[in-house]
Amino acid sequence: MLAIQVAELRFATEEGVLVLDGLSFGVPREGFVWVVGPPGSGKTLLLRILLGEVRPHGGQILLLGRNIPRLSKKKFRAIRRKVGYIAEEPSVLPGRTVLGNLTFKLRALGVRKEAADEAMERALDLAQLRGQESRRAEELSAAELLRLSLALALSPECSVLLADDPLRNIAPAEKDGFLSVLSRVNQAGITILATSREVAPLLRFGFSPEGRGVVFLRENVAR
Amino acid sequence: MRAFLFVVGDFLRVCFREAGMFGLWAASVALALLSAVALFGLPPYEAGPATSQRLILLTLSPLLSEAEITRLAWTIWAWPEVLQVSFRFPGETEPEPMGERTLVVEVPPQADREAIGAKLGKLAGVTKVTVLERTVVPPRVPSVARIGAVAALSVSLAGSLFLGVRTLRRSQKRWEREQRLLRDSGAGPLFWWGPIFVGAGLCGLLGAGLHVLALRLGVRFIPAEGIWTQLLSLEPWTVGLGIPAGLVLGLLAAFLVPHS
Repeated sequence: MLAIQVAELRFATEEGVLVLDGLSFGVPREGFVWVVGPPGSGKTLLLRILLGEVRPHGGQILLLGRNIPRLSKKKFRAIRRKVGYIAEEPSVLPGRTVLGNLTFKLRALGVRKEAADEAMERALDLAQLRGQESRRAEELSAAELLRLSLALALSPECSVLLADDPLRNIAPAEKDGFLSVLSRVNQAGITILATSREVAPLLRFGFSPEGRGVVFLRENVAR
Repeated sequence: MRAFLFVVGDFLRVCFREAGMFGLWAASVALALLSAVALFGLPPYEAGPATSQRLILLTLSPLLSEAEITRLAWTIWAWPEVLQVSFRFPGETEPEPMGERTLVVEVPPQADREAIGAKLGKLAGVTKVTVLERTVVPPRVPSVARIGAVAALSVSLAGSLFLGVRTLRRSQKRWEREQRLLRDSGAGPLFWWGPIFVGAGLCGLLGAGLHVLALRLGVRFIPAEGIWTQLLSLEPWTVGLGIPAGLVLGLLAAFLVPHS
């Protein structure tokens, strides 16, 4: 059973540059796949299409078994709530603590207190932010900010995690640490589709282009 | 609903940091509404007092040359009891249709028109003398107060929109991380733009409230005389229309904020 299925996906810019040209791949439930490509190869675009922010010009996308472009807004919103997203620039709130960040998101999404407390506990555990709850976002390092961003993406209910180039802004020494955090999240039953512009840290971590863990996008076709 | 109210509350908390700008914006909305009240409350035009004009029409002989007519006009104009002399061609209609070349002589109201007419009739080249009296109503022009109200309305409207967009832009800038987090969390635009519209609407309502307060204070402390009688007696509709108008002004500013 696939959590994400992309078939013959096509997208061209207004200038007619074909960024995604017949891209096909699948991410099994509880699977972990990296999409690797240079800047401008369509990594962020692919995630934005999966999030329903951009309409593709052709192909099919199934997210949790539903055809995204054809869903009504209401049905899409229900699916969208199960998809966590880590943007390229972490969406964290400065001036608030780690707990304050999570509380804001959960209250803004209307999650009831008991469920919110439960979701927060789980997110803090998975993102390895235990003991950091009362630290303010601006006091966190780049890697910790990324983990806070991960905790935000995981709450309240996340079945699929999309991460846009999460390794980009963290120090090389911290990349393996974050990859192990992601692996733990994946082992907890969450499907992960992440993008990266560099393949070396992934190879070190056991992902292989020959195996099912890495999808390569074409060379730089659009900026 | 609870979630939306929470998000609105969070945005309004940010707005408190821009309280000065919001106050200024609300004041400009109030000023725009007061200017509109003045504009619609004042009489549209003010006509000056009607005056009586006394004219003597001198029909000229067709034998007179242009030079002789000019000389004759200068001679009459030199008389102390004459205010003004002007020439009319046949076919002109002011102050009445002319059949021949005519000199129109205006005399002061207190002048003895009959005596002056008789004196004019004796001049060479004058074939007929007609004495005429008419009432002149000056053209109706907008009053200075009304022109001032139009200017104040234009300036305060532009000012309120400028301040509104600027204030909302600054507040939105302070809140853009929250907006991004909400958007990345899959919340609909209602959640990340709705609070800005609510804030704008509330500020518009605050402006309307200030406008009503200003009118009430006006009624209480300014003696109801002249122009104020007209303005301050309009209270029921200024309140009735002022509140939605303030709301619309606030929301209009929110629409003009770039939505990216």
